[in-house]
Amino acid sequence: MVRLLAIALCLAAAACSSEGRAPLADVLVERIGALIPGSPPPPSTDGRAEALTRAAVEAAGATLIRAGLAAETGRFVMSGVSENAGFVTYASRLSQSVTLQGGLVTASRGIGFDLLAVEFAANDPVARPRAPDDWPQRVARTYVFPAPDPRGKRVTVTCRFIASGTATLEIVERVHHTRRILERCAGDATFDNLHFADAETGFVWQTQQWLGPRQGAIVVEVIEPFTGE
Amino acid sequence: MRLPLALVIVSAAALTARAEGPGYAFYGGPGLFDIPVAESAEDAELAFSYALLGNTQRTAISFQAVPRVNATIRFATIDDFEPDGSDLSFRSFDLHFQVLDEGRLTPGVAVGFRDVLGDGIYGSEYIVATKEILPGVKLTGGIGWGRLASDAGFDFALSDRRETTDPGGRLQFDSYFQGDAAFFGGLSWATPVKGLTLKAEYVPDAYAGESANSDFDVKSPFNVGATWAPNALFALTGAYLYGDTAALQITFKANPRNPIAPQDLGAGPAPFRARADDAPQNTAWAGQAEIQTALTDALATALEADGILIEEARFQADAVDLYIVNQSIQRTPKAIGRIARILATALPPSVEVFRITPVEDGLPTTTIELRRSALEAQVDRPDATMQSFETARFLDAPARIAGEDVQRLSPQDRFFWSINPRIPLTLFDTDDAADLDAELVAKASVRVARGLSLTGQVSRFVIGSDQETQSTSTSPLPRVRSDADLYFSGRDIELDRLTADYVFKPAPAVYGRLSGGYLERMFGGISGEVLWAPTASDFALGAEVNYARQREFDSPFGFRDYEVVTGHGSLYWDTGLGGIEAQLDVGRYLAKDWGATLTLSRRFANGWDVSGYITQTDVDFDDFGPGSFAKGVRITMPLRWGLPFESRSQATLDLSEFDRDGGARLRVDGRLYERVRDTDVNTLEQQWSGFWQ
Repeated sequence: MVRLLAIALCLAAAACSSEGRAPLADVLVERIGALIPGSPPPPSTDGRAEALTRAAVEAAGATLIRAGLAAETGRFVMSGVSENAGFVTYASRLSQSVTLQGGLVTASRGIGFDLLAVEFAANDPVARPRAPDDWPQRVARTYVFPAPDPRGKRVTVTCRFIASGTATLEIVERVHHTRRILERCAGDATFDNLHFADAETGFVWQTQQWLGPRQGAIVVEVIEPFTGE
Repeated sequence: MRLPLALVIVSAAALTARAEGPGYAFYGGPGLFDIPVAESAEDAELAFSYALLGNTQRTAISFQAVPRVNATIRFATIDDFEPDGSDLSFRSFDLHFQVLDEGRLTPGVAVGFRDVLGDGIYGSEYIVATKEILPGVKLTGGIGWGRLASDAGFDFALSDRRETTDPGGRLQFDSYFQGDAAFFGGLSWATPVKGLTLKAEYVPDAYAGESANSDFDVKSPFNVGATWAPNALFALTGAYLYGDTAALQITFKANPRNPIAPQDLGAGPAPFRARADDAPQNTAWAGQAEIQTALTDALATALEADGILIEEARFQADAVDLYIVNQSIQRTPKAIGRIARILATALPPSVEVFRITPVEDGLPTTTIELRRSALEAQVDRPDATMQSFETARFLDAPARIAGEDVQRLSPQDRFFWSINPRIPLTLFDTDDAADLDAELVAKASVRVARGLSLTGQVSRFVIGSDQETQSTSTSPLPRVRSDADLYFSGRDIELDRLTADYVFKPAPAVYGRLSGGYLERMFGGISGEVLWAPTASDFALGAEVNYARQREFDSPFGFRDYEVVTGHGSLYWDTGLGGIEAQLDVGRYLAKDWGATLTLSRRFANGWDVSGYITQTDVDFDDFGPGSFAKGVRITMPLRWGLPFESRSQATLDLSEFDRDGGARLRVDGRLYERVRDTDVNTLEQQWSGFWQ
């Protein structure tokens, strides 16, 4: 035991380099330091501490969403930073990003385990809004994850929509009358999504969607939608 | 032989993962306690196990090499084995073939060989079947030969079983499935308690050798016990064996395919900004030196956040060339993609072509040419990854960016030093069983010019054995390795390496290296190498010639009389089959023996590499000694696999027979193929799913 302890001390004390510390040690110290009581708090960068008002949203003039992992309570405001063919990428100041097509989450970065892309059908109502009464019974999707192949690891599922009542949402002082629609997906993976789609247009204002087998689900609220302008 | 400490750390850190796959027997391969089962681990799974049973210790590494083949290498020590009370230590190698997978009504069937090369006393063969007969309850039965039939065996063979060859280490065709046979069987029950499996088995093994001269005694052929596997990475087995002794086994598992830490936490890429349709196509900037300098500085600052350094840059009105050093991002395409994002944001709209070339240890390797308009059309679309690969061009990089107005930045990492701990875990040294020591290793490197560097490395044991001063070698060959104990012991500061190294590219697909000085702990000299490795080819050819002289073991700068010209011609082949690569080296070895080394590697896109080699030279088996010929296994684990942030660091576990004189190669740092293979087209393709990450 003494031998092991001596080795552990040697390991803990020894690693250093011309960078001051070994690069690995630098990152570890940075990340672990934040967990140590008494450490100075990191600067607020996520916007959670700031009360978001509709006036501020409109003053910003930006496309905005609020998102966070379903398993966590924290939510981050993300602003639209790029768009291509309707795929809008929203980024936070923590180097995290989410890409949406309509209300469908098609990619995530910087959240843990990346969702590379989602292939969806042309009639997928989550991606291409339509009135809830016109939603198809089911759609097919393929979720793509990192793999040793440019095509990625592909997980194909068929998703069935189940209407489950109505709900009134308020997202940053704006009220939305929505249909609550459960989406039950099965195939190469099994999971449920939950959408709150506008009662008239079918646009998904709030959604909880699967990001992958190791990441779980993300919750997204659309504060200011992308309008193409 | 280095213990990858990080492996232990990351295993402990991932205790929430799910338990799955078969258990591992005390021999290290898939099984209950002693008997095998007809199950396979998940493809590519590695299992590191240590078992203590009676007077026996076994350390084993098992690898699911391909979906139906499992290989296990094991080192065993049996106390009080010999009549004089001395211990027996030996290594052995197992192969397990999953012939049939379990069906709805049919069992899985496997055939296997333990100690297939006859290195020790574990030689046995078996045919085994396993079937889940009730939910969670698996029944295993089989027939075994050799040791697995040493108790209660019956005559079931075409001929008698021959004794293993002396020395061992060779295929034992006269023994396989010969002699008496016996049935064995067992049962396992995955209980409702998470991760807990109860097991029982009947094994007809007499343990004759273990019990002959010790207190160990087989009173019963029945073994019972339990395995607790709280997650996919760790298992603890306890058992009561042979009606005589308690036993314990600890197993760490890892699968290169399944990283255990989040791979992208708070480190997403910069947004990709497309040019406006009506963006002005002004090109006057391209001729202005101050603008080019400003662009280079701005890019260098932006890329530094991802650990990417610019070595050379050339900006033209319609194209940019960058030679970059990727210091931290483990997958090169991810680094390339991040650079492309920055370039798309920063460069004037007239720039359409991005040519980005990674420089690996001073050598430009592959130029990745991307069209900006293609990326703009692809970004964020579902097929963006595949499209970006298909529209990229991959070219052999010239030594330098050609043309005028090339900005060559002075190396930002001109001097590097480090002090790191190292744990040389001796697993396969016949003089010492598994023994845990600790060294401090200090390294310094000065980069004199592009491709030219001076490197020194010293080490000192802080915990370890006393200095050996007397050779214990009985080798009839020149003692090029068998006196290793004289070099690797004691508490003095040892000069491991002091070299000048120069790497260069005489042609886009040709690489060269010259090294001189104290090349390794046991030899100094001059080493020259040339490699032809077109980036888009599955094949590469290399040649290396060295003049080496043996160093004094007790003097940092002195040499002994022994000198040799050694070298090899090498053929490298990326088979394209599941990451399997083959390498054939033919030439002259350190002991002036002539022969060839065949290496098979399975490489993974995330940097894991499991390789095994065999060397056959004109040294006959008797002169070589135990093992008959040189062979070994090497496992490389990228720390990125277990860390939630980017790193190109890696840990290597080298299970070579280091102390044999036959088939010994000079250990030169930074051989060319190792430097360039991570950026050839095949590897880039495997890693390309990271391009948009």
